[in-house]
Amino acid sequence: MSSPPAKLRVQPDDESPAILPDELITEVLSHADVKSLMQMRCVSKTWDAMISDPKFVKLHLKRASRNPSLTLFLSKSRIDGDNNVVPFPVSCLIENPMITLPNDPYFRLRAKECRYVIGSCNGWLCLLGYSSIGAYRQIWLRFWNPAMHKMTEKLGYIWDNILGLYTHFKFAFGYDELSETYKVVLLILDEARNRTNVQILSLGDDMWRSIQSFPAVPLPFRYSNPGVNDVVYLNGSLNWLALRDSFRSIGVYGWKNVNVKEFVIISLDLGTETYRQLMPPCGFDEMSPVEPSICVLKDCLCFSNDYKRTDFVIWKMEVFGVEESWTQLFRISYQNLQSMHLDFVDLQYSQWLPLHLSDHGDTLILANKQERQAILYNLRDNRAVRTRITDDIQWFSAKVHVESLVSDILKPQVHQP
Amino acid sequence: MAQEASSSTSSKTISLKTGDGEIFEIEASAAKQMKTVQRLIDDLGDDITIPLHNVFSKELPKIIEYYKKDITGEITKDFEAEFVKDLNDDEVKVLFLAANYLDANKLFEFLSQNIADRLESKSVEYVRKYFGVENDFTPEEESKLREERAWSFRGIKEDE
Repeated sequence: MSSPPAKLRVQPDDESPAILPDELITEVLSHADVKSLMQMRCVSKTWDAMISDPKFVKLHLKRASRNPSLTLFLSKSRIDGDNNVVPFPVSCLIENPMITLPNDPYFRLRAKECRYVIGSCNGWLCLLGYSSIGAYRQIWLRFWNPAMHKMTEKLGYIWDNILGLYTHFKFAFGYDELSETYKVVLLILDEARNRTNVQILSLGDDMWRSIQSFPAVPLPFRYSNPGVNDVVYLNGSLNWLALRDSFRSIGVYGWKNVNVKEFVIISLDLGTETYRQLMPPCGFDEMSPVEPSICVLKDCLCFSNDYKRTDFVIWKMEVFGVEESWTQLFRISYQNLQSMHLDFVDLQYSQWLPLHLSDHGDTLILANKQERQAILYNLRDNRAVRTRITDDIQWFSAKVHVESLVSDILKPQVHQP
Repeated sequence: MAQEASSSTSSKTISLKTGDGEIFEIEASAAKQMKTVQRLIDDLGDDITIPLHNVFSKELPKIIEYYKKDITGEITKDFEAEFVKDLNDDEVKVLFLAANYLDANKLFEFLSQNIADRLESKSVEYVRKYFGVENDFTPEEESKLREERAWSFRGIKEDE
């Protein structure tokens, strides 16, 4: 905060209004929403320069990250299979309104020639689209900042032939701070050669390039759509839950054959493009029919698992990369998560996904595979309330998203040394 | 609240004197939240009346009210909404400047957000007046910019 300015103060009964010094104006504006800021660029030339200054954009992004949204993925139309992506502020979600989301064309994907959201980074959504040509599919990516009304062209074209977009490909989107480059990572399962190939696209480059293959088998590798959350972006790295050792396909009933010790978290540093392996918490020592998962809560990597079909446990890695820093964050009994309206649902056999933990740590938003609604779980009084948005939302595709002023993510090509 | 090892207890009050000569009392624990006040206490001692030349009797009670709630951990969204409900935009600005002077971080952050929220529905002309900024765009330049960002200008309320 700035030190008290010398000549600033006016008497309260003076006619002239109090003037804020520049650093206080910047402070106030860093709290404003993108739409207002875009208008305020018309205030004066100085304001136009200030609001588009990269330092201000960074400051604004930092503030906006404290007030994030979840991108709600839903279909409004049963006819043409079009999907909508609606960024919905977490603060609103927690108030649990009973509403129907408007069918605003701005949030429809088909008009953007896309179908899924791969990820969100610094206010930009990575969208995926494809078209089928005979037995082949042409896949592309497109990047969209909804708050700034900015969208790139289609890029990063890939052909999907025998290997399936829905069964053998995993996309991930992240940002490398050092080189200031946005990157998309593609994992391609190669069953015949018992390995997973990895390609990276640096935004601004024309082509995908190969890097070292994935050192484990990423989970889950079964039928799923590209929009489902299966990778975690955190502080310049992309992280996947995986099984070490040789490849095998995990059928629906196959978990019993998997040893707890086989789980590993593979972390890809987007700067060096190298992997490191992180062990899950040692408190996770017993297998369960329910697959564990990873997520980010409060800017930390978290690991969630079922415990003896009585509780859902979430662990937090306090210091990223330090395995000794795994601490149990919550242990929530399934009884507390039960809904009185849905007693036929076996929550203890459900796949769960934590989505967000509120700032003051008292509300956890989480979803389970068997229910249409997400759960707002109050950690102070251990009460679970279902969300009341009437639309059929695919909560397992919800991404944490912020509004940002970042206006350009296609960096001009700079060759890596 | 943890007790200090030194002589001050949580029931100790500090006297503050505004720029227009009025005296107000606050608890020592609340004074701690205003770093400028705490610095003056450290320099001058906690037994004398602390002079605050740049804060006046109109704002200080409001600020004291805020920190009274803060030390009991009762600041909620509802409280904050009530707190600013009857303040007009200029009064909030003055309070914001006072919070800045007092280095009262929590209130400062809250009021930054509140001012930003208030400006959300206001016109560019209002914003200029509010911050005392001169428009140095030519009419042509300005209308070009407005056209380019037409999407951001939809849904403006009339100036209050």
